[in-house]
Amino acid sequence: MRHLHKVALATALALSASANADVRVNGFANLVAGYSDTDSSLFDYEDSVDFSTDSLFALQLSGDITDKLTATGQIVARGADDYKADFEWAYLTYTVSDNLDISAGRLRLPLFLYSESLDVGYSYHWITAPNPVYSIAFNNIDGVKAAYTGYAGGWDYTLTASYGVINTPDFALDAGQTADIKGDNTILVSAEIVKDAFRARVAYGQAKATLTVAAVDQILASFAPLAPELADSLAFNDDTGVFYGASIGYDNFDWFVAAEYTLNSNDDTFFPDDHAYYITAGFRQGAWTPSITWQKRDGEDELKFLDQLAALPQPIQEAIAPAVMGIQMSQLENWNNWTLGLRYDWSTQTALKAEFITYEDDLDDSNDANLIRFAINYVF
Amino acid sequence: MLKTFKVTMASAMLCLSAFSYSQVVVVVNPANDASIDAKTVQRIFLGKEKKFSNGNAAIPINQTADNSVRAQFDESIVGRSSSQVSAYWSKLVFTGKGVPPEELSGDAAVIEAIANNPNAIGYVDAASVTDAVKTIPVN
Repeated sequence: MRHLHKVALATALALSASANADVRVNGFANLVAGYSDTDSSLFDYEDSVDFSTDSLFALQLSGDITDKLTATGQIVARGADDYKADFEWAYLTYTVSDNLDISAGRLRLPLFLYSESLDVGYSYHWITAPNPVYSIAFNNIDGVKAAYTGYAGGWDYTLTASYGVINTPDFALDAGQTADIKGDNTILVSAEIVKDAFRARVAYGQAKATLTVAAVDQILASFAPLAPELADSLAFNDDTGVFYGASIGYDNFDWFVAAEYTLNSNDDTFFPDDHAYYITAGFRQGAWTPSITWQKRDGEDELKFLDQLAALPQPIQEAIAPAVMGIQMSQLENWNNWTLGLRYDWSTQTALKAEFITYEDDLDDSNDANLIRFAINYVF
Repeated sequence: MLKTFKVTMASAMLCLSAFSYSQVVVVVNPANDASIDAKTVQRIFLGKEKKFSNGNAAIPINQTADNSVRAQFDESIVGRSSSQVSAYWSKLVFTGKGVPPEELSGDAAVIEAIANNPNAIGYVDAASVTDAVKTIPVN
């Protein structure tokens, strides 16, 4: 699939180059250094200075194939992936009318307020968008997206609908596990309104999702012969995952405040419901933008399927109860952090930032830690 | 006496600030008969509006960041610093939602581009305006 995209994109760009020689090249870079005082790791930073975790370089090529059809490709090299360059986006956009665009290919799923410019550090005041909300495994989709924009009574509005497939191998979970995540029949709809300084946005999505974690599958397989129904309930296999998102903001360019909330719900699986939210505020004084953000992830759900467990014969109950509970408890999380940030606009292409994050784990306070980061964001 | 002095100072400062803002003027092709106000100019330069009121395509022409008229335009008409405008566009560019206005360097280049394109809209220092373009009062 990835190769197909590359070939299609290269062909499209070549076509557009020969048609009118008008290929736009833009790029952006984030160079981020960080240090955490943790014994283990906080947002992948440890107690030695790290330059790669959040650093990235990206190049975007876009070309008009006709006046209605545009090809866009974004090549991103992330420090976390050893700066291995990869086509993260590759899509064609057809402009149906002044109001309606349809894109097809690999594209960013517009889940959040900052989804589509998530990697462009220059476009926002943080070093990275709030971790509890934005660190999810299904940012990109292979499929189609329609976007309708309009302007009525002083309100700009944007409606989007997306359909496609999510495929995220080797997503890092907590506790050193990795998960292979697939979402078939993924749909997402969103609506956003903007008037002067005010904006609001809602999104709803769902997918037939499969999340494969080797250690969990091993445990499930071990007691599946004893309690097949319970093992099936716990398994995250072709189960419906639902996403809700809402955000609201006010930004009059002297000061701003914004909040965003998301809920990931996976009822018939071992995975808990995840609530995530943040509130941020700051002001702009000349080239300086100091800001403060409070962020929270609450994935501390009640243990599920205990009634199914209780219905089993006593000896089986006793044998598998630790596994049934352990699988679920291993995924519970409840933490928050305060972020104090400072942005300095060096030029219309470069921003310098500093951030201090203090992290508090409400389940295990031995994980409490602080993180300090510095960043240079560049766009061209 | 002190009061008079204060009033004089205040009016002098008003004149000064009025002077510094009146330097930047919005210009279009003389053939452009669309009705254009400050809000329209802002929307066109932020890529939110792609057409003039008469239905013709609107093609904004920006000035490069090293021209002081750019900062004046961004702050007085668009209502943000040039860095904020640039951050705004970086969001649109890297989401494939928009292409920022073409940038030319200097008033002469902008006036020439606008004189040659009935759909173009730009801004220059008031002192640079020639017969080749029409000024739009937006302040």
